[in-house]
Amino acid sequence: MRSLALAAVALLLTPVAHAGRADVGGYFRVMARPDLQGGQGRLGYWNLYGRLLNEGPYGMLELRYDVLEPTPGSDEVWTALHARIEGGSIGNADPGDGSLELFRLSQMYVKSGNLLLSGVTWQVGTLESFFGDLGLYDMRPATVFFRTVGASARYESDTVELLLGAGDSGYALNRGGYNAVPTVGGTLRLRPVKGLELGGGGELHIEGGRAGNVNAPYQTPDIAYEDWVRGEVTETYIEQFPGLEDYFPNPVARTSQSWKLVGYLGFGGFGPLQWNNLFLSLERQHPEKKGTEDLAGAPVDIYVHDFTDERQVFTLGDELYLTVVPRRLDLALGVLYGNHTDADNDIVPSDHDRWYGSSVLRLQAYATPKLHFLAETSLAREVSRNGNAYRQHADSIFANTAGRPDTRGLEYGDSATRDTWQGKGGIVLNPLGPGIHTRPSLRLLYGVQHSTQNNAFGNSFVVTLDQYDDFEAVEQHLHHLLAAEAEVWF
Amino acid sequence: MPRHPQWGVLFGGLALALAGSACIKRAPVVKAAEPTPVVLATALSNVEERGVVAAPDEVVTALTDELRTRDLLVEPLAAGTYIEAFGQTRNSGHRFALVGAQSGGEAVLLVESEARFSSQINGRYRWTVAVTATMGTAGSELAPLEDSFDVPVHLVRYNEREAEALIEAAPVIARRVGQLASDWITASGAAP
Repeated sequence: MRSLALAAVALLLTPVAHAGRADVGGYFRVMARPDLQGGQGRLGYWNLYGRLLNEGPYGMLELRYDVLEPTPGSDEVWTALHARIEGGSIGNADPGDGSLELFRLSQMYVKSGNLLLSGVTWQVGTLESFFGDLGLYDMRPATVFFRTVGASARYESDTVELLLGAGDSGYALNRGGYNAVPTVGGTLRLRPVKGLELGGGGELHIEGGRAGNVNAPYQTPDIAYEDWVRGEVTETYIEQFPGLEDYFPNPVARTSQSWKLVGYLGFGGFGPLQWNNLFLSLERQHPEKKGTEDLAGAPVDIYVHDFTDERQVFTLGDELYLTVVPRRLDLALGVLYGNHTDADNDIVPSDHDRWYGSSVLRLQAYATPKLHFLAETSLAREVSRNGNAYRQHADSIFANTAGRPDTRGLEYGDSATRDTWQGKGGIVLNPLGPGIHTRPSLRLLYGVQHSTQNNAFGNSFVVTLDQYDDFEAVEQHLHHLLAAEAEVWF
Repeated sequence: MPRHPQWGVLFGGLALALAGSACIKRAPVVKAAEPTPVVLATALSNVEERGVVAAPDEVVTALTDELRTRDLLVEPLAAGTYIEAFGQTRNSGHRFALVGAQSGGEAVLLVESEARFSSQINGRYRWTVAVTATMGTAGSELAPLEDSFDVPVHLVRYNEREAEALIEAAPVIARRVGQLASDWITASGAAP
């Protein structure tokens, strides 16, 4: 009887893991930007000029379901399921009109803590992890496992966080046909003292091939890089070997490698400095697989591993947040530098061979806790390494070589440089009070862009100098937008 | 810049809406018949440790300001008098009784919170702050009123943890606690 009573007391005092709790969260932004200048509702081409007025609508819904809730202060096992659906289309706000075809189940994973090892969280499924965010740009340079599904283990203490993971990135890297791409990697974050964080990490992908697997990496031998760029590989082959269409070279197997290194430094919390984030990444991009050309009326695959295996991207981004006047004025300043190099390419302007830099400055003033005024300016330069890539005027040349019109020229336009300035301002209503990061935000904004490129925004203008065309070419370097927007994390 | 009549319509409509918003009358707040002291105790816990800490000053200030609009004068209870005991029990009834024993018969507001990291969402760190607010008077015939709710917050930096999550949730918590206080004023007969 006594032992039974003791057992009953023990049972009552033992914490019991709770199950079945669901939590739904997400993010969305929606906007109305009637573009009266023939554009498509975005001020410029991309986020290099700041995310504001340069992004389209987006929606994200994430579910967390607690199979076993964590029990505070115990080593009890806990387990949660996460699932995320996201996409860039909302009804009446973009050409997709909110179609579910434009949404995908982007993340799904199970997390379990204290399973086998106390203090370690296991994750199986999608593994994406990032150190932080350049909020002004909506970019996350220090991200690992973005394309990987697999398993990871995370150990976390007050001063150290260690993440190790392994999996497969084959479906993400080989959308044209699956081949396994084993991936390993990890990150280490240190918080030695309050107000200072640093971290680093990386990932490695290795893709081999199995004889006869059409989705493995290969290189078609004896073809020229320029012929591939021009889409004239088979044409050149026929010129050199007339009548020998059936003897087009077979591809030779290769092993593809790609990797990424990331670094992070964060500090702040003293004086007016709320925080400063510095991110950098160096990435060797995964080689492409193949293209298709026509040979004697039949399609033939041109394998291009060797032409695409030396592409590298270096990204450096920094963002700081200052309290200029407490509860009245905040400032955010971001800078971004990107350098894309392609050692295989010396002849054609390309997004794989360019550099760019920009700076974005945002000020947000709080007239009342809920009524704010926002002003933002950005300046950016983009440079193509292999010659002209931008048309500066409505009557600029098209295909050219070193600025001389040439129908066989690989350059385009009359400038290798694009300079862009944007200015934005307006009213922000924040139901939850002041803060440059506080959301939800209801915004009424005006934006203006000046670019050295003609019509430097998504548009439907004709790009021809044909005198018989129904429409004339348009020359515009200033682009204006008025926008009503809502953005919320929930 | 090309002249577009549509922009004049847009600007004019906006000006009209802003001007009209100034005429909207707000619903009156339920107030106590006279300034009424309320003893406040707060608790913040996390899923990893058994220990409990008091809520940050920013949260106490938000609660104080919200209750002041109802003529309720917050008197924060010194954390040292109850926080260790709160670490031994997570039962709201037990905790309320502990605070009530130190309230000297005055009204008690207990705000308990637990912050838990959820996931990385679009560049931010989503935390969920679970809150239970209990208001009443120890020994009163009226049972304490309780409100339990979750507040999602999205922190910008990884080094921001439970305390920052609670600070971020403070505006919503203060608003819900204000509604609870209004209900208590009405139920307890403290209204004019």
